[in-house]
Amino acid sequence: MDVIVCVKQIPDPETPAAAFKVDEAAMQVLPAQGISPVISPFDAQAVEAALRIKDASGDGTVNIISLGPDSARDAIKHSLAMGADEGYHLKDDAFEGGDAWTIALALSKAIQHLGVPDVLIFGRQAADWDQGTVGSIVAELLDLPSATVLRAVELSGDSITVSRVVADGFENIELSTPCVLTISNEFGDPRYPQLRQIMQAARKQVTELTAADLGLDASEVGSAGSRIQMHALFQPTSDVEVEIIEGDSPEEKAAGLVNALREAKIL
Amino acid sequence: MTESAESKRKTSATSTGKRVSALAIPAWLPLGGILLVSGAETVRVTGAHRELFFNIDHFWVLYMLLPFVIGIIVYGLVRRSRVWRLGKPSFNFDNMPQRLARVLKGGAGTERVLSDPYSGVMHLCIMTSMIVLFLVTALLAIDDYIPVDILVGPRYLGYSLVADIFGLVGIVGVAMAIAHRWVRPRTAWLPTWEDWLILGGLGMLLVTGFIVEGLRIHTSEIDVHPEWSYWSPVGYVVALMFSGVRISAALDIHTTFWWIHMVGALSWITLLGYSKLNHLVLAPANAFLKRTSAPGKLDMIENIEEQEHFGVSQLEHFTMKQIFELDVCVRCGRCTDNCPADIAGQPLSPMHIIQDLKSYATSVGEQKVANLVQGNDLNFGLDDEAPMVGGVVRDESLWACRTCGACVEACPVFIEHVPTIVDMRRSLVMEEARMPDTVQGTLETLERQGHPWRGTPYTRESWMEGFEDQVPEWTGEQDYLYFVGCTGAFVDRAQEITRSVVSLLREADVSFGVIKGMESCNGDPARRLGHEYLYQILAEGLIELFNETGVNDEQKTVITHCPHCFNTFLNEYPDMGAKFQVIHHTQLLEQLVDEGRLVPSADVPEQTITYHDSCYLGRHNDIFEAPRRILEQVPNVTLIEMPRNREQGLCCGAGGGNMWMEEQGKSRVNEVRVEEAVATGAEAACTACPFCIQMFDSGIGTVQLDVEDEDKLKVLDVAELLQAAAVSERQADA
Ligand code: SF4
Ligand code: SF4
Ligand code: SF4
Repeated sequence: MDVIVCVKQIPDPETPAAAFKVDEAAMQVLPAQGISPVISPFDAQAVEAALRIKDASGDGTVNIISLGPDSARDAIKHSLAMGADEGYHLKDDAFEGGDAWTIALALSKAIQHLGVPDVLIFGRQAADWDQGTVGSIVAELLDLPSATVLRAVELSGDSITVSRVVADGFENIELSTPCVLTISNEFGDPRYPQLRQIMQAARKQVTELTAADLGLDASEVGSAGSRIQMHALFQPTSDVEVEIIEGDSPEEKAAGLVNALREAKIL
Repeated sequence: MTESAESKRKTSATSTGKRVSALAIPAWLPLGGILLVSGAETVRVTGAHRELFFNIDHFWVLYMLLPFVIGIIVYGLVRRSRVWRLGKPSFNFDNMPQRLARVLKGGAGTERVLSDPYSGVMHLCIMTSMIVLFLVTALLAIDDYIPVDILVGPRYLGYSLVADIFGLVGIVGVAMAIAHRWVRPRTAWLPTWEDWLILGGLGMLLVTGFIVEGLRIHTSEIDVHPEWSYWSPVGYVVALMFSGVRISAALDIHTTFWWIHMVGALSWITLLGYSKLNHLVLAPANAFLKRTSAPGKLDMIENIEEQEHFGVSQLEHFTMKQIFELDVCVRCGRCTDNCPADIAGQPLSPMHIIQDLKSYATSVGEQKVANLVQGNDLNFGLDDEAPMVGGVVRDESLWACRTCGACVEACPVFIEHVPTIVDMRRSLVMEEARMPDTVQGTLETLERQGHPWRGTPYTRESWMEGFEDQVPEWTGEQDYLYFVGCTGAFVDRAQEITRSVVSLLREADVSFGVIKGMESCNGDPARRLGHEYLYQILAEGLIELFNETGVNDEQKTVITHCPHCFNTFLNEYPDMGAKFQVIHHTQLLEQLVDEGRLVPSADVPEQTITYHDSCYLGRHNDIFEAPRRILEQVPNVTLIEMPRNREQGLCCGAGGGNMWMEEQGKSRVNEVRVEEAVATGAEAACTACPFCIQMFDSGIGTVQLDVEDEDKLKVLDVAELLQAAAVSERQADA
């Protein structure tokens, strides 16, 4: 079964808050010193899901697409080291400043360019902006069935059974292929690449594709084609106040705590 | 600078070892006395002698057997050497004087065997007895061959006496060895048929030897020359026991026992080629082969990108020395008895690792040799064998190792367990990518963030907050770079120690600086966890930073906060092109106190302190005294030791990357160690390693759960205590 996974390179979500800085004037996140960007964790899980599908079906390919600046290559290389077959890097200055819509547009063109596979997989959301829309937009653009926020994916003949995480439990669905899936963290940890695969991946060519290669005009993508406008970007501040509740006995302290919580409208 | 690890290590041979060797001398003194008396007796006994083959026909059979016996032994060893030679060649003859000294002291001198009083004496008895009896026998044969008779008269009688005494010493040794196995077994003990064959055989030889002697005296000496027979006291007693037996019958019994003794001796000696008796030859050889580098050093995988395999997953990936040393193990159990993981009831016993690999080398190794001989593929017919890593040696055993080196320190035959264990870890991580989640998380954090502290809320500069102007920036002009390291920067308890060190350095006006914000991990955690490739990438990056900032220069010294950084910089970075000098903060602080640049005069509260040796400072790099001398100089402090200290110190449990793992097993290593510290009655435990501090703090949480906070054991870095005593108020306030 052939699978394509779309991945994104993001600032490491483990970056401590203290190292996280925003340039409010330029409305940009400043990269933290000494911390390299990583593949979005949900996307790594998406690659894991794709590899398991390939293993279970016994044949097929897992190809990777990523849209982004030079550093996006690392996300592709990481996926290749995990065991994916080929990588495609959508790289063009015209893509810069885009929103979920322009990115989904470019990705869907690239997928058509490569040939629509049996399964298309995304992470449930990129762990930087956490919008979680690109997968669904691509499904719309390609007119494919989709299931989002999945904790399990299983092949059953030509169709695919999946389990969605919903607010009060799980929802099991069967989809026909081709289809679009987005993977949630409940799916489980992605594999750690073997050193030999890391080295092989390092040597592998990644194909670069520009907007023109995909038949897209610069006005359709990037900031020019964006449907979302950003008005401000800032770090919220939160103040912490500590109040020590006095009391002679534990009971008294507990009563004081309840009162304080009531006043704060928490109880 | 630190003295070369191994040379100093020798001078501080374990104290028990010294005690026992000292004991051994008085034990032999009475023997000398008896020999002297024998000198005075000479006149009365001129003419005393005996016939070599008294009462024996066809003794030439013995001489016929001898070449066979030697052949059988050599065949056994040479055959086995084919398995050793499956490994990769690894001959390294650097530092010959040190190697030879080790062969003499540790091999022939059995220095390390003596570090355990009971088995030390036991082994000494058996060994001296065997050597003396061998020489005695050889002398008798020589005497028979040469035309002049040496063994006559008083010389013969003195000779008889020596032989008798050492025969008895041997019996005592064998009895002690048997009792050891029955009465006082070690916790890790594995007596097998080999033990009983070797000991039983030797005991049998000694006893039959005395029977033969007694019968000879009974039949030919006691009536004619009774005064000669007193010189064979044991034989004399045996002769008395046979006194009722008719001479003709006694002669028959004599012949039978003589043959039993002689054929038994020749058969027994063939065990040299086929059992752990081979340690007679192999142990001194291993004393020679042991690396001369610091024991905590791990060797580089050169040209790692071009390797066909990473680490060791097959027997033939080991070096020849690593396979050879499996055969040297005598299953004494000392390594396991000293292993922190085993002590805490966790799934690791270094002795079993070595023994299991040895069995594997026997079964699978021999098959591989046969395949080579028959021109087959090396692994032909071995598909169904359990894998060596993951089957013969279990993953959880490999992960439980702290790389603390207690096993290596304890092993009387110089086996190096740690490189062997880490080599197998390397294959788990790099080859198979199979590891506990916590290890994977740590490695990923190291890769991405350049430090192992996943989820830390801090940045590299956090420890300086509000203190920044007190921390001089490294300019390349200062003498010392203070390398804070990841733990000193990212862990809040360790940040306090970092600040203490900085204020002490300022107090003493040391010319130093800190590379602010740009440091990255030196790679030690990746290396101990088995990710050699990641280690090399991180080390290359840091050396590049050191090159750019002028640190990598023979004139510059790096002060490390953490013993693990210290060990890596000192022993491992030279392989990566490092030229700078390295000093641990306790060493420098001790110098500063010594030079009077730090004066610990302030009144700190009266307290008893026990010092916990960090493995990577102590056992691996021989820094035992510097931190203790600092503590001794602080007023009002009384230093007491835990039973396991210095070379025998017990790891806190964090080493070998276990800082970032979940422990499996009955208890936690840090709890065991905290209990030992609490048992001394000390109010505080001092150490010099940020990992030890964390391990102690968390161990105290469980061990002293019910103790009031103010009565709990306090845990301090040596620097913190010194700061309290030696940093003036002005600066402390600033
Ligand atoms: S290095 Fe330490 S933890 Fe590892 S096997 Fe040896 S004694 Fe045990
Ligand atoms: S490895 Fe060394 S210490 Fe351990 S059992 Fe064998 S001989 Fe004894
Ligand atoms: S943390 Fe300390 S005691 Fe534990 S292994 Fe490291 S140096 Fe040894």
